[in-house]
Amino acid sequence: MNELLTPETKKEMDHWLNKFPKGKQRSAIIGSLHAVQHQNEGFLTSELMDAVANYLDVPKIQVYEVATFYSMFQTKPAGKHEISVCTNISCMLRGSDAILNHIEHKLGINVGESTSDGKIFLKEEEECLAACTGAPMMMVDHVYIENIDIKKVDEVIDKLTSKS
Amino acid sequence: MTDTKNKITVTIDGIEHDALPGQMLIELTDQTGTYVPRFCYHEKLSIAANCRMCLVEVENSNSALPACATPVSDGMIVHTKSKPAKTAQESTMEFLLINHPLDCPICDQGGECELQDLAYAYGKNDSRFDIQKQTKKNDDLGPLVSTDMTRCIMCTRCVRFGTEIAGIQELGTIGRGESSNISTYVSKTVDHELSGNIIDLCPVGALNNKPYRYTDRTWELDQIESISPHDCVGTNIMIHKKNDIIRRIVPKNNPDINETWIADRDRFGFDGIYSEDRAISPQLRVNSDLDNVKVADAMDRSVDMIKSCSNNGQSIGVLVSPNLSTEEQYLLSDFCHQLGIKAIDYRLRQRDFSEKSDRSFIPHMNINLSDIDSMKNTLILGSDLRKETPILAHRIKKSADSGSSIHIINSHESEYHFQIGQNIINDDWVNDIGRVLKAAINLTKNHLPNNIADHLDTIDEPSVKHEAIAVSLCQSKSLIIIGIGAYSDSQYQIIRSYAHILSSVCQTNLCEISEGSNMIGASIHGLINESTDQTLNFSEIIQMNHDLLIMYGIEPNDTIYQAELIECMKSTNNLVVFTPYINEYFNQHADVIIPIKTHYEGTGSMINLELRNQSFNHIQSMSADEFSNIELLMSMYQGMGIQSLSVSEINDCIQKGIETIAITAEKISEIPDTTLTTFLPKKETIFNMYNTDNVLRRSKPLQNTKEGLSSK
Ligand code: SF4
Ligand code: FES
Ligand code: FES
Repeated sequence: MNELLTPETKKEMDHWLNKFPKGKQRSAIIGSLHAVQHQNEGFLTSELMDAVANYLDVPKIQVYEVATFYSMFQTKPAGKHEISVCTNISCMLRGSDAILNHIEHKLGINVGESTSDGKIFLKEEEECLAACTGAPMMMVDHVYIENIDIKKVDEVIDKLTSKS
Repeated sequence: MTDTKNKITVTIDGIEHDALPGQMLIELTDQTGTYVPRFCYHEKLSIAANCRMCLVEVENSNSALPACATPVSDGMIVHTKSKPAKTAQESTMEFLLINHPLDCPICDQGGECELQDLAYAYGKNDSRFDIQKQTKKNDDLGPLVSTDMTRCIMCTRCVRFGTEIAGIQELGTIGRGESSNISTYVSKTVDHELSGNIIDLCPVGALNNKPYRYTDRTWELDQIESISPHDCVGTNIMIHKKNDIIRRIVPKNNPDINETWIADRDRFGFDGIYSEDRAISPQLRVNSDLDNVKVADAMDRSVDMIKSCSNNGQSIGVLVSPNLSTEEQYLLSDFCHQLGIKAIDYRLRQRDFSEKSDRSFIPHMNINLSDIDSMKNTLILGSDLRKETPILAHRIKKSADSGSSIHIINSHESEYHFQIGQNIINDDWVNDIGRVLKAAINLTKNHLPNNIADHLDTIDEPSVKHEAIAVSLCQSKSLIIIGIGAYSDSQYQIIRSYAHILSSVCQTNLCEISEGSNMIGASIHGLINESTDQTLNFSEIIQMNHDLLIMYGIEPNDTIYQAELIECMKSTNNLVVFTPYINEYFNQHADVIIPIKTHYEGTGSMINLELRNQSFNHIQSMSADEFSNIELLMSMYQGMGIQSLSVSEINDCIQKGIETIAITAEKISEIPDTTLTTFLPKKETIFNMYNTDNVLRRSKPLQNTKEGLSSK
């Protein structure tokens, strides 16, 4: 089962494992899932979660619990690049709804869906990402982009779609 | 001066109580009999404090506090029924009911539902919420536990049960917030041997008893206290019956034995008594067919058969189940004793009978079950412990959880739900026990009789692993367990000797798990009526040619000598079976079939492995034309014209027998001659926990579990 994990992923997991005392491997689940999700280009599968459980020596269900709890883990197939637009109060007041609408139209998908070429995943709903000073904002592959408008959004998305 | 530091006073509803520092408020209110509502709190589980039903008012606190997660402190003043407390409890209830369906009329939990009761006490008549309720997906957890997850209130008792009691987490909290639910996530059945307990733990109707689903309302049921007959632990159960039919079985709390838990086979095993192959009418073989007859005719015929046997009972063999009540066992043994029948045995799973004196030390344990919790070092020899005795295994888990070291020596891997220290799995595992013994002797510098010293010279020197086990066992609070795997091994006698000597050398406690539910009861007669002439053992009996073979409560599948027993049934001139069930072998070979009651339909007592004598009750009164097993046996006595003891005399004998075991329990100190050939070659027997007796074998729910299907 461990062969599902690449050497880099294992290295990353060992890094997390070493941070916690023996018997507390459960604490390394989040870090490990990040690594595995990255390896699998954006989402987790049951097999990969089982591999994590096996590698960390924790019950499988504990890995499922963590993976389904946190919004940063995708347990269904999702596109490679992840876009999330903040729609909480500050961003909403500065026009995030229109931006989200625009993105949906541009990509031809609704929030929570991925483009058919598997490149872009528009994440369900994101609460305040603590960047209100730069509202409206979005996060692309875990990087904050602030003070966005339609033009800036187009640029970012075009760049993503032209990349492999 | 008394320790004033450790004495604190807490006032609950105006009454002062002494309390222990560190105690949670709810423990104190439970102790003092003040009712505080709760869903997530359970005394046997860790504290989650997620349901908020137990909110109470504590003076000088700004808000109501959860009693289950608030430690008591000196001078604390608590109100459980004040306005603020009631308001907090009512609000919690209102929140819980936002999403809970109002399907009590079709919910099996109705009538014994903690939510229903509390909604009645704390709930409002109508709901202020008209939003859509959550719906949740149901997992198929297998044939024992039904799921209606929409009713779940997310108390997580079932999840904590998995991590803390079962030791193997199968259920988890999937998702988050409003969309969280209890699930196995990937489709998977719950297969743990104690899994049925989540039915009792679930305070609502989310997890229920699947075979019992939609059968009765709880208030229609009568309750009888009883003992589970499926292993030697003597688990206490409550039988719930309606019209003399068992509908379900639930645990009876006994802190000394099973606490609030029972194994799945204790809960679902009874289904086997309603199997279609029950023996209903007595039958006699006429020419080649079996004809239905009256009980009296069948008994007369049996008695005639016994009478016509020549030479003083020497040509009669009697095979008896180790699961009968002590009273039945006693009468059977006494009957044979009076008639001079020496071929009687109940040890269906013992392979190695090389030691002739082995009835003098009856397998049992010399401490109480509850003492296991505090053991510090345990060595388990030849056991699939979780399958053999789930409740005892749970006690071992408790000791492991509080830091004790558990070591294993066995011929094969077995699944454990606790941390294991030294784990020696080896084809030649018996030798490993000897090496531990050798290490222990080196360690303690104990002086040994020459024959043992000579014997030990022939085995290998101990390795570090063996030494580690010996060091561990020589500390205080240590225990050696001999499992059924060892009991059924072809080198049982030597394993047993090693274990006993090791136990003496290291001064450990000793626990021998016995087969069936009442093997100790079966031995009582032999103990107190010690006759000088040797009785024959199971393997000898089935290798002989008999004029008459009597089988009482057993069928070929019960023994590891299945093929040999069937041969013996074929070759005997006359075969009389007393049996609750008919099977193909009886149909083919029996000359007389006399139906008997199962444990659940009988009454009597059983002795568990800690020598605790417990009585059990039958579920129905007998109709005039029916006979209890005891009555059947008594009529055999009458037929033979011999005197039987009365039930009260038997009880005195049983008491005397138990005392005899306790007094004469000298540990074995000899090593048997290993050059003796044993009856059967070493053979791996896979222990299937749902195939150990004739009732379990016929329990449909159990046979549909993963374990049940694995023996098909
Ligand atoms: S299923 Fe029952 S025990 Fe489990 S969390 Fe839900 S309400 Fe609690
Ligand atoms: S509301 Fe969008 S970052 Fe805070
Ligand atoms: S019982 Fe105290 S919070 Fe649930």
